[in-house]
Amino acid sequence: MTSNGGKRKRRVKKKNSPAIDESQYIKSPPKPFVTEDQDLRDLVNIMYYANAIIGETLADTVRFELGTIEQVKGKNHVKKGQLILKSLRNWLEKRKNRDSVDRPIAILLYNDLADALQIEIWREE
Amino acid sequence: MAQVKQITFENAAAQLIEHVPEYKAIYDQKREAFGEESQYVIFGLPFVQFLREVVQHKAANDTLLKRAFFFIEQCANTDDEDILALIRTGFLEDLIKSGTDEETFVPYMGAKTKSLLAEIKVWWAKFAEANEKNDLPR
Repeated sequence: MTSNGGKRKRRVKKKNSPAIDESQYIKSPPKPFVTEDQDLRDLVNIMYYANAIIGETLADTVRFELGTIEQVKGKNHVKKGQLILKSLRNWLEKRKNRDSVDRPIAILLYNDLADALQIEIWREE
Repeated sequence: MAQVKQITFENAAAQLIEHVPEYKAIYDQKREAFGEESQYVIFGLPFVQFLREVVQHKAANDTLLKRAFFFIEQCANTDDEDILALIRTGFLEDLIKSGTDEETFVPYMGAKTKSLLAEIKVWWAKFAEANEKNDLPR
């Protein structure tokens, strides 16, 4: 699913680095590879910014906005994150096939974004 | 150009299809997959990819591109922050972060769309600067 099994690293601020508000946020897991579902693949590419470098996911941008005071024209990525989370929830609720190889990926994405938005993560019934 | 009704965040995606009916098949597919509140998917990467294909045959699709960016400009000219956020981080961000040569599309953009594009670039510059200072673990 991910190269490090979905483990996350907490950011560690170096002793001499400048003090910035967002230093405590957690980085997103590496970009997952979706095998079956084209719609989910599109969503992954929205959340992982298809041409992005490491540390540039939608969840990372949400964490950055929530961790900073000064904003450029509002918390735009928080709004995007909230709506993309609803899209993911819909995807998960509509697909009852729990054996799909892409389902754990959707849950990983959901939980990373929910963690960034500081709301409850997805739990399978 | 089709007349633009009052744009709200809720009807923005439906209005996009009134202006760009050629995008309807993808719109229907994404709404089926992600539900009613999938504006950020519909205005996002799938729409950018659609425009990238269209612009490859620019001469034949010139009016389509004009229609699409005319509607985006109408959205950009509202004072509804939800719509402005959708254009900034839904559409324009996916345009610049997907490896698309944005200069191809700039001639079709209105003044306010260009202004929102500049704003999201400023945001990404700040984000990149913070990332660099924070020395992210790799």
